[in-house]
Amino acid sequence: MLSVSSVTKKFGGLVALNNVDLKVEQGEIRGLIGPNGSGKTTLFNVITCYEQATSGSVSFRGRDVTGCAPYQISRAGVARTFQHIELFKGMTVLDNVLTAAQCHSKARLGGVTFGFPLVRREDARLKDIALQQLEFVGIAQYKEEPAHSLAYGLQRRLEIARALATQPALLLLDEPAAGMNPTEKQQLIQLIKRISESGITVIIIEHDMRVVSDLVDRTTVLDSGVKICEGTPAEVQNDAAVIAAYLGKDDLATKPTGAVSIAGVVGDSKGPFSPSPQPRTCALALKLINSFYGNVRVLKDISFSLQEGEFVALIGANGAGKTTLLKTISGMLAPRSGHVTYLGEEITGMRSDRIVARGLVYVPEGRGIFPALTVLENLMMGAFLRKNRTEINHDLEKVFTIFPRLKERIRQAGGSLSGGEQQMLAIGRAVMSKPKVLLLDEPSMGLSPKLVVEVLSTVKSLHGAGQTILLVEQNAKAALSVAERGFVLEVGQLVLEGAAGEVLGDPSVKTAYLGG
Amino acid sequence: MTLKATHALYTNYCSYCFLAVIMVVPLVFTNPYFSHILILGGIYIILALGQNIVTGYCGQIHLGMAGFYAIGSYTSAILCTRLGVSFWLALPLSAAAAAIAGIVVGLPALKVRGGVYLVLVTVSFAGIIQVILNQWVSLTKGPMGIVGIPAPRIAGFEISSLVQWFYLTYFFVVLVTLFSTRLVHSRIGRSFVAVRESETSAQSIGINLAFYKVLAFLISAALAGLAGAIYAHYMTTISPDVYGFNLSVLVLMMIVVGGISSIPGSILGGVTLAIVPELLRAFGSFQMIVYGLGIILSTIFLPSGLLALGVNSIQFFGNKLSQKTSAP
Amino acid sequence: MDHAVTLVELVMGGLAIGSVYSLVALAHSLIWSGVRVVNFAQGEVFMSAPFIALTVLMGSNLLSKQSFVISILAGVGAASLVGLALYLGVIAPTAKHGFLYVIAGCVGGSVLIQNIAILIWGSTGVQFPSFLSTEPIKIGPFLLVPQDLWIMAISLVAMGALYLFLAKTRIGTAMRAAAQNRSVAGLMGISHSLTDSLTIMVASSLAGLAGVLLAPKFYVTPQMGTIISSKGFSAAVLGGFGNIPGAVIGGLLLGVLENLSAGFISSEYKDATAFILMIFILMARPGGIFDAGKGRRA
Repeated sequence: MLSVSSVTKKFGGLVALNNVDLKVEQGEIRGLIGPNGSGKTTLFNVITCYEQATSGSVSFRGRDVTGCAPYQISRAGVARTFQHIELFKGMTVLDNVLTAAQCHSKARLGGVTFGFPLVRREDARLKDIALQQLEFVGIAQYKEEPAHSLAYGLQRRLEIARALATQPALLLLDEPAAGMNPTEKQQLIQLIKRISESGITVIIIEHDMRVVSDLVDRTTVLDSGVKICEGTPAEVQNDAAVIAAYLGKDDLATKPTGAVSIAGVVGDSKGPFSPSPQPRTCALALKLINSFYGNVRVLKDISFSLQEGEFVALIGANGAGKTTLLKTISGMLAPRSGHVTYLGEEITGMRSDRIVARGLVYVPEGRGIFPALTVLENLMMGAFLRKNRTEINHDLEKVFTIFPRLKERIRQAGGSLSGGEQQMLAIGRAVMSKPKVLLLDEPSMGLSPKLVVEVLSTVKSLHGAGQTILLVEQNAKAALSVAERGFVLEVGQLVLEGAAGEVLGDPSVKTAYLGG
Repeated sequence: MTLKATHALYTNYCSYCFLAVIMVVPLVFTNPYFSHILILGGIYIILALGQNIVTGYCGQIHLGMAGFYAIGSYTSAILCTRLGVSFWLALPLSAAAAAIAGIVVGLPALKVRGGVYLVLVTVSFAGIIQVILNQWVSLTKGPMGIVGIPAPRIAGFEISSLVQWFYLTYFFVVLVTLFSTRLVHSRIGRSFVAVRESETSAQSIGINLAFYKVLAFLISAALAGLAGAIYAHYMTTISPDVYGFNLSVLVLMMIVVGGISSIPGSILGGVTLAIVPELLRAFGSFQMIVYGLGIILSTIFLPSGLLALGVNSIQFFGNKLSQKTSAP
Repeated sequence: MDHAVTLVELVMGGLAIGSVYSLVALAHSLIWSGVRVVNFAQGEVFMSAPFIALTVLMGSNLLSKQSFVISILAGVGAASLVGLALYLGVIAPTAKHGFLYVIAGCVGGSVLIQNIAILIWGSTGVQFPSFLSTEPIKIGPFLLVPQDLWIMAISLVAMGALYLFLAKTRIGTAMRAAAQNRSVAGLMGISHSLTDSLTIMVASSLAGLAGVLLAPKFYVTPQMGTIISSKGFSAAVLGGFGNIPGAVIGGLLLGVLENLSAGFISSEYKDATAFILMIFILMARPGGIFDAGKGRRA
C-alpha cells in the first residue's frame, strides 16, 4: 500500500530523516515510535507531501507521489491527523466533517448559486457521509455544537472523523492519544480497531507504549532520523538498540572525562567551600501540583522536595510532563492547583522574572540561546538583574574557566555554536544568574554521546562545588549516573523514587518508557 | 427552542428583516436626503458583502477593494458614454472586468506569506489603479472624470427619480444578499472558512488552497465591480479621488463594525457606515473626533460587531422575559 | 554624460527621501521584531513631531540654532509619547482580537489624532521654517540640494545612534534578546513591559524624527502622515518585515526607485511604477528582498 524508499530529509545542515525505508501492507496497523526528535512527524510530513524529501521516493498504491501537493495526496486516499489539534474551530462539528466529505467533489460555483438539483443531491449525499462518520466515532450528538466547545478527547475524535470523511485508504495518526486519560485511551484503541476492521490501513505515532502494543501488528522505530528496528511490539520492546535509544547507553556512567577540576574555582566568593553537614534546608518543595495545558491535565498531584545541595534527577519518557513540571516551577506556567515553595517562600504562580531574581534559575529545553547575540552578550543577559559589576566580572571569569571553549568563541553569535557549545553557553548563562537552585531541562537533547558525557560531568562538578540541581532528562542512564537521587515521571505522575543507583536498576523504569 | 436554534434563526432571517426595514423607509420618510444616504448604504452593502467573503470568511486581509470598485465604475462609464452600451449589458461586463482584476491580484497574493505582505500587495494594486485613473487621460479623462453617464432604462422607461433609484439599487442588494447567503452556506463557503481557520488541515482534507483563495478574490472583486457600476450610473459623474485608499479602509471598517463572517453583519455595517458620518454632523467640528473614538472603542470592546451586540441583547432580554413569565 | 549626471542627482535625491522612508520603515520593523504588532497609525506619530516642534519654536519666539534643536527634540519626544499612547490605548487592546482589528483600531486612531491636529492647528497646515538652504549648490558637475544632504546626514546619525544603543548598551541588548526569544528573556528577568514600551518609544522617536526632517521640504499638514507612512510601511515590507537592516535598505531602495522612475520613465506614473515593482519583488521574494526561504510569517 505504502512504500517509502530511502527517504532522506535535510533541513539545512540538520538531517531529520536518513535513508528511511518503510513498507506498509494493506490492512496493517503499524506503529511508529522513537524518542523525541527522531523524525516521526517529519516522516509523516514527507509521506503526505507537506515536506519534500531531499532524496528518495514515496509511492502509494503503486503510484509515485513524491512531489505532489498535500491536497492531491489527500484526494488520492491518504488522510492524517496532527500532533496539535487543527480543527476548524469556527465551524460546527458537522461542518468540520462535511468540509472533509466534499474532498472528492467539485466546487461548482454555478450550481451553488442557482441551487441546481444535481448539486443539491450531491450535498445531501455528502451530509450523509459526514453524519455516518460522526456516528462511527461516536460524537453524532454534538453535531450542531461549535467545534471549540468540545472536550479535548472529543476534539481528537472529531479530528479522526474528519479524516475518515475523505474516505481514505490509509490513515496516519500523529499522537492521537496525547493528553487523554486512561478511559479515553481505551476508547481510542477500540475506535482505531474498528477503523482497521473497516478496511483502512493505519499508521500511528504514539508515545504511550501500552496503546501501541495493544493496537499494532508491527512497530517501526526511528532514532535521530534512522530506522533502528522493526518488528512486533514484543520484539521491539526487548531490542537492545531500542532500549538504548530511549534510556541511554551504558557507557555514560561515571567515567572521568577531561573536564577541569573546578571544585576550588566554582566555590563561593566568600571563601573556600565547605559542605554544610546537617541539617539541610529544603530548597524546593512541590505539593500536589496539577498543571494543565488548556483543558489537558499534564501533571497530576505531583509532590516532592529537593534539599539544599542535592542533585536530583527527574526522568521520564516523552510526553511524561517533565518540561511542564519545570515550567511550573520556574513561573512560565501557572499550576491549576498545588503549591511550589522555594527556600521557605511560596512562589506558586509568581512571574518568572521575579522567581529568577530569587535565585531559582531555569535552563530551558532546547537551550534558549539568543541566536543573534554573541556568547558574551548571552552570558551578560544571564546577569541582567545583578548590579555588582565586580561580582559579575568575577563570575564571568569563573564561567570561562569551567567552559574554556566559550572563551574562545566569545564574540561569536550564539546561533552559530554547535549543539554542545550552546548547551554549555546555556549553563554558563545560568551560572551568571548566581543560582541557588538550578533547573536543567534535557541538556542531553540532540547531543552526541561524547558531548552528553562532557556536559553532565560539568553539571556534576557544579554540584560538587555546592550547587543544588534538579536535572530533568529523557536519557535515564546518563542522568542517574551523575545524580544522587532519582524520580521517575510517567504520564504526569511520579511513579518511582529513590537513590539514583537503585532507580537505575529498577525494571519499572524500562516499563515506564517502553511499556510491556 | 434551544438557544442555538434561536441564534441561527436570527442570523439567517436577519438579513431579509434588515433589508425589509430599510426598503420601507422611502415610503415613510419622503425626505430625499434619507433616500440618498440609503442608496449609498445599499452600494456599501454590496461592497461589504464582497469584503466579507474574502476577508471575513476566507481570512485573506484585503485592503484594495477601492481598486475593483473603480474598475467597475470606469468600465461601465466608458462602455456607456463612449460605446453606447446599455446599462444592463455594461453591468455584467464591469463585474467581469473587476473579476479578472481579482484574479490578477489573487495570484501574487498566493505567494506571499502572511498578513502584512498581503496588505501591501492589495494596497499597491489599488494604488496602481488610482494612478492609472488619474494619468491615462485618453481613457479615463484623468482628474476631470467622466460625466454624463446615462441612467438605466427598463423597457423604455428611464430611472430618474430618487425613489426609483432606491428600489433599483436594493433590487441588486437583495440579489447579492441571496447569492452571498447561498455561497457561505455551501461547500464553497465551508472551504473558505477552512482556509481561514487552518490552512494546514484544510490541505489534508483535499482543499486546494490556491484555487479557493483566488476564487475568493474573484468573487469579492466582481461584487465590488458591480457596486462600482451602480454607483457610476447613480452619480452620473465619477472622478478618481473617490477611489482612494480611504475607501478601501472604509469598506474594511464596514465588516469589522457590522460583524465579521456574518451576512446580516455586512448589511448592518454597510448601512451604518453610510449613516453614521451624517449623524455625527451634530457634533460640529468634533464630528470626526467622535468618529475616530467610536471606531477605537468598537474594535476594542465589540469585536464581534454590532450584530452580535444586537443578538446578545435580544437573547438577554428574551431570557429575562421568560424568567418573569415562568415565575410561580 | 548628461544622463550620468542626472542619474547621480536623481539617486542623491532618492537617497534623501529614501532615508526618511528608512526611518519610518525602521520604526515598523523594530516594533514588529520586538513586540510583534504593527502600528498602522505610524503616519500620525510621524506627523505629530513637526507640529509639536513648530509649536515649541513659535512659543520660544526665537529662530536660533538652539531653539531649533530644542524644538526638534520636543517634537521627537512628543512622537514617542504619541506612539506609546497608541500602543497602550489601541494596539495592545485590539491585538488580542486579531490582526484585522489592529488595522481597524489604528484607522480609528489615525482619524482621531488627525482631527485633533485639525482642531488645534487647522487643516490647511503651516510652513516649517528651514535654516538650511534649499538652493542647489554645485559639487563637481552635480547640482545637489544641501537640505537633502543634511537629511541624509541626520538620518545616518540617528541610525548610527540606534545601532549603538541596541548593540552596546545593556538595555539595548536586553531588547534584542527579548526580540529573539521572548519567553527565555523573561527567564533572565527581562521584563516584557519594559522592553515593549522602550521599543515602541524608540521606534516612534525615529518616525517623529522622520517627520521633522521632512517638514521643511513639504508643508506641514495634519494629513501629511498618510502618504509617507504608507511608503515607510512598504519599505519595511520590501526589506522583510521585522528585518532591521532590511528596513534601511528597503527605504533607500524605494526612494531611489521612485526618483529614478520619476526622472526616466514619467513623473506622473512614478507611484504606479513603485507599486508594480514592489508587487514583482514580493512575487520573487515573498518574504521581502532578504527572504531566507522559510521565513517567519508576518
